[in-house]
Amino acid sequence: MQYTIIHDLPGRMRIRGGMYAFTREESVSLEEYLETIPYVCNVSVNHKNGSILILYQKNCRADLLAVLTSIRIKNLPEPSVYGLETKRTDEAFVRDLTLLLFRRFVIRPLLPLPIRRIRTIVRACSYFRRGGSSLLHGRLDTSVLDASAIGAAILQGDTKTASSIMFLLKLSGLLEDYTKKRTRNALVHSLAINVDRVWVKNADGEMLIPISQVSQSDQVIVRTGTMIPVDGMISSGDAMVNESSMTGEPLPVHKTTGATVYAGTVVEEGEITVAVRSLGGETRINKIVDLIDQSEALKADVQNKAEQLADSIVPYSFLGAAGIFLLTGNLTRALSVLMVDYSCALKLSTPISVISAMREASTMNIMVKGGKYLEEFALADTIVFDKTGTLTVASPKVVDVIPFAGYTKQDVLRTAACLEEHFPHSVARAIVRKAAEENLKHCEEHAAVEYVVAHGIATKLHGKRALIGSAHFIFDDEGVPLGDEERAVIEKESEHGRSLIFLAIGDQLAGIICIEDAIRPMAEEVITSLKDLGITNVVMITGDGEATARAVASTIGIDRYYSQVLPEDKAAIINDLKASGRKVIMIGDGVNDTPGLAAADVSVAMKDASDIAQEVADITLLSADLRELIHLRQLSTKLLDRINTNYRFILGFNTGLLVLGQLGILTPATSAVLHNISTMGISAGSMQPLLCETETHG
Amino acid sequence: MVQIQDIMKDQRTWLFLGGVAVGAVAVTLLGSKTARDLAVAGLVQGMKMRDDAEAALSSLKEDVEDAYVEKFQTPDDESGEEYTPVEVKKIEM
Repeated sequence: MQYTIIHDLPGRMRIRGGMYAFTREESVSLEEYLETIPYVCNVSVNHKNGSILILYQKNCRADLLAVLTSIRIKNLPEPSVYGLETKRTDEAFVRDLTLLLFRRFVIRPLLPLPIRRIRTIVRACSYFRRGGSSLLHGRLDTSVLDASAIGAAILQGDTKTASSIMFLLKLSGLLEDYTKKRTRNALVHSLAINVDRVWVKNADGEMLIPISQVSQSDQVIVRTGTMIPVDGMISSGDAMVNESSMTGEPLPVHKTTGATVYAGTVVEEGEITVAVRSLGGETRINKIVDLIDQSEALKADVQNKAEQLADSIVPYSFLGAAGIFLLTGNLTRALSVLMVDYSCALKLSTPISVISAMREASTMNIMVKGGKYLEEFALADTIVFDKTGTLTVASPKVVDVIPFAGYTKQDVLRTAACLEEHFPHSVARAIVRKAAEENLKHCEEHAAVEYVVAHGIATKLHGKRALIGSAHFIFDDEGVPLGDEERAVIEKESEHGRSLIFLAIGDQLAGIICIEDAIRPMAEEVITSLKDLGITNVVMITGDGEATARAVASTIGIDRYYSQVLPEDKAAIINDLKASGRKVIMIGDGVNDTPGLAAADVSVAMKDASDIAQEVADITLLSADLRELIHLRQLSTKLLDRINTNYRFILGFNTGLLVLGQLGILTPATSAVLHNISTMGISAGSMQPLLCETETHG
Repeated sequence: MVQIQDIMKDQRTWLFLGGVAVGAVAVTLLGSKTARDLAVAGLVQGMKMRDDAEAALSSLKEDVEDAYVEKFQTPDDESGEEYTPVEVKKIEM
């Protein structure tokens, strides 16, 4: 297929292949493929006329042409569900809007007047039906009001006004549907599976493979804190599985051999082997879509209040109309009250504002699972940070290995890596990485590992009990003795602000692994900014020792810290803060943070968080940049400001229209048109971004 | 008997019977293969016209965008040299 370059400027090129050059699906594949090229800044593909617009770095024209000539449309990978769905949503919106405007401004004026009138009355029937249905169910709501306004206009012989009202109501509804669909697409895309590699059983034991290589006959091993990547049946093991992404049920469910599990659910505790039935992408996405659609609990309170207020005002509109008629005897004036109401604008502008804010957050790589959480984030006055992986970088480093009891550094590191490699914690990954750097290979010599959340790992190695974990786990829970020499080493390393992991073999301390957990460079700046934005209390919670916690807290301006905290204590601290009247945001990343995340008013998980933390959290930062917390705070407070501004405008403007209508300055037709235009204007305005570009990139 | 004659003399009766006859013929014709083929051909033409209109509108919008960028958004080259693109006008994909 030949394409012509029809527009060629430095950094901007458009090529066109004519109609039917590629299909809609191929256009999405092409767009996604071209966007992966490093020097391509933006791509827009239109399948209707086979047009491709590419914005690229100016000195890469020759490279771009070479890439374009090497593309074979038929050989491109399948388009993503998200990309295809977004394109369909956009096209449907443009098509529906064009049809609506075409019918209104082209077809309607060409029709003879009697036909226009009949058409208006026929179209009004659907509004009458809805209004009648509400009345039959004993409700006096906006459907009744709309039907009354339209019916009143028709009864007065003013079909033009009735037609205008219906047109503007339809337009507002179209805007709302489009915003909701776009946001839903973005939310589904973010909550979809992001598991890259999985453990699969093979003849030699188990191996780590990319999920794309998993087939239906495979046995996938899923351990504590990791997401189940496939649909299937448990062939061995048992676990407590968190299925909230599917069912909304926050409590985990016990699953054992023979039970069915679904992709996207998370193993909270235990280990299972799953016989793959399907890769489950579609099952999970459909379940997420249902959850988003059905969850009333995720609506912002302000949204629920707006809907209740809107419905409660309707009877007063009718009373007002009746009162005006009794006082003046003028039907036109009385009916003009019905033309102007507060309810439509309230019911439309608030959900559009909330949904639009959620979509704006998704463009900043912040996934908000419901409007309610944006509202809570705006109103919170306390923020609680987990230390490791949240205030510190997601990649802690092993800086020293101190052996005891005749073991060497290599023995300690090799053994530790062997135990830790199965677990999704950042510290475990640091140990495994260090062993790999030192070329310390190992065979799977240990028995099945038992993972004790936030404490450590226990197993049997060469007939001896091997333990790795925190000081509390090794010395207090397991009773491993601690000598004076070891105690002195611990105190010295803690003073340096290092985290310590202890390895014990056969009831003896074999070694200490010193982990340096660098603070994120922007942490101090973020905390200062959050305080400027109204957060009055910044708290840090960590399982690390007192000295380490104190060192970090004093460096970055934490108001209060808690050290040596167990997971269940994190939830207790959060609950105490809430009981003292505070609204609490909790930010965490590990399996051990989930009780705290669940207890907070609103919880945030970082990008590198464990699957279960991302599952439990209400908001996920996909860019792993703490500065997104500042943007989120600004976004959420501006959302509430916008809603309040909209309230004031709706009240003021519509009251003005009512007064002017009663004074005879505005006719009912003009009042109706102005009211509906203002409603549509508020809805369109509510879709505008809340943050300007300097605020998101500053 | 008299009543039937009166009914048959009434114009409205003949109008009604004529309407029934026309309806019967129309239903027969519309159900025929010819009518169906005509309807399919008509719809195909209609869909092609719709695609043509969409393509034409898209091309128009894009040409306007490109002309606008060319005229108002292209910054002056700091070196003062005029940009001369390499002569590649067709691409095979």
